[in-house]
Amino acid sequence: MVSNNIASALAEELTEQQSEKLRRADAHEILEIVNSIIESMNRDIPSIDIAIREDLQELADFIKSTKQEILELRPDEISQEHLPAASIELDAIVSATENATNAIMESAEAIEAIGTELGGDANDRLIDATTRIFEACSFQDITGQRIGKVVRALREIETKIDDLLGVFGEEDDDARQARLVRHSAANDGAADNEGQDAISDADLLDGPQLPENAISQDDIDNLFANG
Amino acid sequence: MAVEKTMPILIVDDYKTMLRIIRNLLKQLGFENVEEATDGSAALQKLRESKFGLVISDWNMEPMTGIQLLREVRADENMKKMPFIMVTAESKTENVVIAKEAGVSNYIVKPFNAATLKSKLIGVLGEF
Repeated sequence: MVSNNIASALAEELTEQQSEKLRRADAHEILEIVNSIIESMNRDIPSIDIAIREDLQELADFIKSTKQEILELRPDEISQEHLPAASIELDAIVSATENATNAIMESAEAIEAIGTELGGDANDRLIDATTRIFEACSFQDITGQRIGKVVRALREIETKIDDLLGVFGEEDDDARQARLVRHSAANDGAADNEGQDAISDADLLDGPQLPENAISQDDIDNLFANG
Repeated sequence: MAVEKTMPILIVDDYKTMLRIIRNLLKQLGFENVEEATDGSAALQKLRESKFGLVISDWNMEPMTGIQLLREVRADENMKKMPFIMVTAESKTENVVIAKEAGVSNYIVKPFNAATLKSKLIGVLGEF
């Protein structure tokens, strides 16, 4: 139990020295504050209840481990790699549907011109058919607008993650080193199983490439010609 | 009064595919004198340069939206009675109400078909 004098000592410590700092603090600063309280208790109130010291130490450890767990989720990768990559893919979808829609309409216009040459009932039927094609092509506008909404949502998520990173700060050097060592050990294990240069089946499932990254049919033909 | 099918029509949309769709559908209805703009400010410039018989405009465009264009048109002494049809994916009731209050002649929600376009044109311009 917290005795009254220790509670008031804690309150005084927070009020006089740290309250302003605490209001604006990020996780790292809160950790510093807790540690400074522990230190000042050790210095000023040597007879403090051991349980409180343990509680405060647990709180400090908890903040530290939570910070590390969040950083290990690599929120920086989400905001710097995954989300921008998703936006690029979505832009590629809009661009591809626009090109396809224009190609479809170009053909419909050509069919309509042939209908005009033919005249009569054939022309009427061709106009009906091309009208349906033009109507259906409006999907490109609608899907483009929907994808635009998704891109804006991704940007919002990116901003929130950047805020989160701001609160929890950067990974410190020791933690980064520990994570890299663990990551490297995990990869070595995989390499032992599959060989040093093995490409897994999952690595080969990447879907369509963006136009600038895609291999051309000519390149593929060359690979076959040289094989 | 008979509808003059040679009258100039301005179509406004930031999606070039949609401009092409509307142009083709208008052509099938016999309207071939069609000009295009890709946002409200470009449209306004064309409207001030020459006379049009009808504006068909999208809503969601940058920098000037369709509703801003409509307000500019209605505030202009020379254009305040010009037929103006909104063709947009904005399908909330409040959008329609606001467009109506701003003086839109009719409102078509995307995706739309040729029959809807024709019926709205008849409603705004008269039988053709």
